[in-house]
Amino acid sequence: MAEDRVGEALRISAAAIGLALPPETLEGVRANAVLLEAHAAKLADFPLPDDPHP
Amino acid sequence: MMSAAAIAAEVRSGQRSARAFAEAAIAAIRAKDGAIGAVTRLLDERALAEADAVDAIVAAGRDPGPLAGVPYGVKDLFDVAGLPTTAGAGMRADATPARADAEAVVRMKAAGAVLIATLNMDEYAYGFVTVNAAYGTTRNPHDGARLCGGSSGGSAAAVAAGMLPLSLGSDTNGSIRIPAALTGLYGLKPTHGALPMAGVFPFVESFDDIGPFARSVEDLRLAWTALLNPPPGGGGLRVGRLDGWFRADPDPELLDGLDSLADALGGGPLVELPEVDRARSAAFVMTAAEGGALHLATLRARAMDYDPATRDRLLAGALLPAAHYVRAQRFRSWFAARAAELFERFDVLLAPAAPCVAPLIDDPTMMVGGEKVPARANIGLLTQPLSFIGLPVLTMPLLRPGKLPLGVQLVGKPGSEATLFAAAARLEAAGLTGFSEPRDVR
Repeated sequence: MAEDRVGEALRISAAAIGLALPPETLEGVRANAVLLEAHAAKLADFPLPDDPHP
Repeated sequence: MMSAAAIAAEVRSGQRSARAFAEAAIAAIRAKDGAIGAVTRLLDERALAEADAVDAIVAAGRDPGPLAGVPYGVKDLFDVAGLPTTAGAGMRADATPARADAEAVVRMKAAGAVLIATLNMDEYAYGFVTVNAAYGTTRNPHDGARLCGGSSGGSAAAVAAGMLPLSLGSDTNGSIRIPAALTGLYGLKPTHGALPMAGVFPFVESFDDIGPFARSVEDLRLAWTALLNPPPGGGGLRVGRLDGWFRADPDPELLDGLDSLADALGGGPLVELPEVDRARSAAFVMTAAEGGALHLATLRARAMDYDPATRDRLLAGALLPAAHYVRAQRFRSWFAARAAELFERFDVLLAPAAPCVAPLIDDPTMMVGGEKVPARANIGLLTQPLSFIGLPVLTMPLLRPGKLPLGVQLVGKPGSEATLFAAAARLEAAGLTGFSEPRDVR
């Protein structure tokens, strides 16, 4: 069920920029999106000296 | 296969014609490529015309250039006048033909080189394996059951198999250095921006570069010189060995070989470049974002025409939040500054290229941190963090005849290619690096 929600979220995000995600792409796109989020999380965790204050 | 230097010497002296060398290269491709799958288009008519033009210059007593009559090939993303630039994509097989040659091809021609063929790659350069849904799998000449690396896999395999003495490829995250390492060749990823990208199909413009493959330092330098005249190198070398991330996983034989290279250059301490793991993550994020942005319009219109392995990564990249890309860019600036600090103390840094020998095509896995992981996603883990900040890297094969190739990266500060060539020539002369003939070319 959670995976279905991720798939639906991906479809909605894609539609917002004019992309259709055919069913056969969902598993691969989801796996790649998860991988990219993991990489991005490593960067978010690292403080840079010139980080702007929120 | 004669070296590029020897071919040029014979053609320049009139001892043998450029046409004879072009015909020999075409015959070698016809004899060998069926088992390798490196060549996508054999340009025999154009090649013979270019060769005849070189012979005419020699006959007229004029200088035919430093690469006179040297046959070479280009990765399928260089424009070749009159042909579609496929970038390895089946959907581009009928693309509008290029109106002119890529600037790099123009420079090679001006140096007397003869273009023989276009060469296979991962679709749109997004991969490390050269397993292509439209144009087939390119096999490693050292063992046909193994990957040749990618994305410039055809460029590497054609040279390693003895079909061509030189080739050109491109490197974004390791696409010259990985196939060079897995096929036992020398390869150069120059300083970002040093060589012309005009007429080259892009992938990630923030760190795309082109460069040559060869069987020796001398041939690699000849191609580099034809593409760009570098300043002369010289002076003492301050050498370091990259530690931490770069020595965690590689084959022990590779680390022993690398240490021997450092000793031959006068010794070099282990040094740490900080946060390499995060640099690789940032390279992943930027690659996905820029690749997705580049292909967005085509993904909207015909996503299902892509190779599935490329398509799903590009789609994920197109959906990536801009905040992630901006963060990766800012990290990149920080990381480049750390590397610059290291190059205040060292001229050359040594690191493994691929961490292992070529993985099997039917079981494309490798060991990282004691775990078996997919090679497709991980074999560039030692190359990505370096090209990510635009550093020039010359990849060299450890000399180990009869064994599968292992490669080492010589890394310099931006603009220091001449220093890298000088160091590579010393190591080759010392008998520590060099090309070994493949055992599996049939």
